Amino acid sequence: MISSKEAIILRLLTSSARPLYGLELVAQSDGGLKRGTVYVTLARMESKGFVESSEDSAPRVEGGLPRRLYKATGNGALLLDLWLKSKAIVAPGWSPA
Amino acid sequence: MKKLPLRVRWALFRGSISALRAIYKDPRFSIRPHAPRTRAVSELEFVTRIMIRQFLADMKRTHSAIVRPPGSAFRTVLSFLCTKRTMKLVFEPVLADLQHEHMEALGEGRPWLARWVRLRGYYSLLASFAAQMPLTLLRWAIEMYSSLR
Repeated sequence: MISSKEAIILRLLTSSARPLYGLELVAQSDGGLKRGTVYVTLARMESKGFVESSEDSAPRVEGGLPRRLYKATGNGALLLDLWLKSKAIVAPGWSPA
Repeated sequence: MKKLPLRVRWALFRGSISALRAIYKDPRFSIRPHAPRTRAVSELEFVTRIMIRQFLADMKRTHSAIVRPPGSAFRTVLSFLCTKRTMKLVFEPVLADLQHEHMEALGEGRPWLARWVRLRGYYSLLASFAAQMPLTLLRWAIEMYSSLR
């Protein structure tokens, strides 16, 4: 089972054509995700194999850190699909934010 | 020895710098008793002037000469407390976002926005740390327990 935050992240990642970084996920979630906890959730999801990440190849800030880009894995997309179907049976009309 | 005025004795009793200043200001105990009197600047006034000057310089400045990116000190402390994996997946992305947003704000010539971004980034970092803390404590407990067995 996945949490509602994980479902929001998976929905955003599967619907996006390109990998997204944390702040983009927060901005697109309409308040469903918070800046302070999005990366903690993403790290847990990566350890479960729902998402995978890579360092951004764009030029980095002078002396700074590269951004981390995330995309959903096949398992993550499959799990989201199953989760949405099970939710449709249990609670019709419900969808992640 | 001449008897010190009550004001000077009280200042000496307090044992502060103001005692030295009171002595210096008194012409009877001055190092240069016949020198013309100039306006003495107190330490508080001196420090306040420097602070105001620095604050006004910060207000006027539209770009900052960054010696270290924001959050570098936090990164050093957190890398001591957390594993490499936690740093890589949790805290470094937060710091990267903070640094990118900060640089964007400075690049647009908005130093106050940059300060706000920095403050917000630090809050995000602390929130991430609070969310990650239970796992870190659990890991420490497991490591300590396994090392004792």
